Order: sequence, then C-alpha cells, then structure tokens
Amino acid sequence: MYDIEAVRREWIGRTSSKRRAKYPVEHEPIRRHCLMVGNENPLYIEPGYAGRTPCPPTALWIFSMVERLGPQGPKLGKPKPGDKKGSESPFSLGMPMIGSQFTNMGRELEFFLPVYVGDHLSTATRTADIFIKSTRLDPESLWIVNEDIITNQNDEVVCLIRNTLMNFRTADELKAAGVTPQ
Amino acid sequence: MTRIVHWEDVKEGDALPSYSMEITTTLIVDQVSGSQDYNLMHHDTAFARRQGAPDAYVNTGFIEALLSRSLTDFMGDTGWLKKLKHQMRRFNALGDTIKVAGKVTAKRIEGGEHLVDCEVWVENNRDGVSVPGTAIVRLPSKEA
Repeated sequence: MYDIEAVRREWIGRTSSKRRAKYPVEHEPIRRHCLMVGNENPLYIEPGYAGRTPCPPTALWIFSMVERLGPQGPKLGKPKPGDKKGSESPFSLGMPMIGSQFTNMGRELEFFLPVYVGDHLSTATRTADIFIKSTRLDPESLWIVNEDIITNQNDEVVCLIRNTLMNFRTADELKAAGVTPQ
Repeated sequence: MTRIVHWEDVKEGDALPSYSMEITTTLIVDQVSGSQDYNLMHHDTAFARRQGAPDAYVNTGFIEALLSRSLTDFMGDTGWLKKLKHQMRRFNALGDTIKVAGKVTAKRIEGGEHLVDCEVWVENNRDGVSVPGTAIVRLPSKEA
C-alpha cells in the first residue's frame, strides 16, 4: 500500500544540492536540438551571426541534465540490476514510486537571462508537490511536481522550470495489484 | 542582418509562424539525438504500446523545441521569451502529422516592458490539439 501522506510529508519541499553540469553549453548539441524540429534560425546555428551564439531557450535543460549526461552518454530509461527503485528517474530525487512507468504531463518555463555557448550551468531541484490523481492509464497515477532552478557560472538564475511528471503502472503491474484500468 | 520585430508592429490576432511535419522514424531518431532523451517510450514502439500509447511518441523536449521555433521566429533576433507553459494532453506518435501554431492574444506594457501574450499549441491528425500552451514574449519598442 502506497502511503501518499507519508511521502508528501517526507518529500515536499526537499531540495537537491546544486549540481554542476559535466559540460558547458556547446554548438553541436544546439545544432541537433534545432535540427530535430527544422529550426534554421541563424541566431542559433550559424556561429558568428551574432556576437555570441545564444542557446535556444528550450535547449537549456539539455545542458543542465547533470544526472543523465556524463562521459559515457545519457543514462538509459531501463533500470539496471541493483538500481534502487525510483533511482532510474532523474526527476524523482529517489522518492518511492507507485509504478515503473513515467510520462511528462507539462512544464512551465520562465527565462531571466540569456545563456550563450561557453556558459556553464548548474541545477538544483525542489519537490513542490506530490499527489495521486486518476488517469485512464492508472486509477492511482502518482503526480510529481518539481522545480528546477538553473544558474550560470556567475550563480545567476537564468531559468526556472516547473515540471509535472506522472508515474504509473503497466497493465501487468495493475493486474498484479488487482486493479482494473478505467 | 539582424531581424527586429517591434512591439508596435504586432497586433492582437496576428498568427505566429506555423509548421507541419510527419512523425517518421527519421524524425524519431532526430528527436532522440536533439533531446538526448533515450527513454524507451520515445523510440520503441512495443514499449510505448505497453504503456498505453498508440506508438512511440515524441517527448517534452521535442514539443518545447517546436513551440520555441514558432515563438523565436515570431519575435526576431532581439525579442525575449519570458515564459512558456504547456500541457502534454495527448500523444504525438509515430505516423502522426503534427502542426505547431499560435496567435497573439493581447499586448500590454508592464513594468516598462513591452509584452505580447500568445496562445500556442501543437495539434495532430488523430486528436486535434494535443499540447495547448501559452507564452509571454518581450519585444523592443520603437519608443525606446
């Protein structure tokens, strides 16, 4: 039995330490970020177009995904043997989950200062809310609202991201729990 | 050449740049490369279907980049995206044709900033609007 009240008491308001990204903001990931949506804006993909190349606002999080982007590449979605339950998610801060599945439900992004190629970002994550709300995927879907505070190398806040993540069970997990999906 | 869009030249009801694309396997690959999001539901059909999705579906980073493309093309080189808010309400999956669009809903001056409120969205051929959103953009003024 998942004790939502105990999880709320323990986790809401908890903030991670500030973690510095492994790598600075670079041209090539920006090019790939733009390429995936056909964005040919020279401001972002032509070095020299502007005095300094700005990072597209929605690419900031790539350069602040400190847990998933290391020298060996991104951490894959599948948990490894021996992983602590919940530790596979860069969003959960290790809190207990209801199911093995995650999907993102939406975000609010607020931008304060420009970020340029060569800047180096850090992120602290605060758990703002946790609640259970029924969805068609799982009648006891777990909703987690986190706030990422992204700062630059001068310790200035450049962006706040409020992310709503949903954790839910697979059909097999629901069946094992004796729950019928709606 | 710097492209400048002034606040005075924008009016309520103006359409934001709109783009359509089909979610192909190549686009799915570009999405993983461009977002560095390797979670299986965003590229593995069988895994996504076990989750209840119609097929592998594009991730939040992709959707935000799409909304951002429309907004940054709209605001020119000297505009500033202050806020973007969106909800991932429906899957945008392999085989879907998606379109990003938006419009200006209001103009205002607040705290000395010349602001433009926008409604933005992504829609697909199966579900209509799959990702509704709003944005606030700051533009330079001719009076400055």
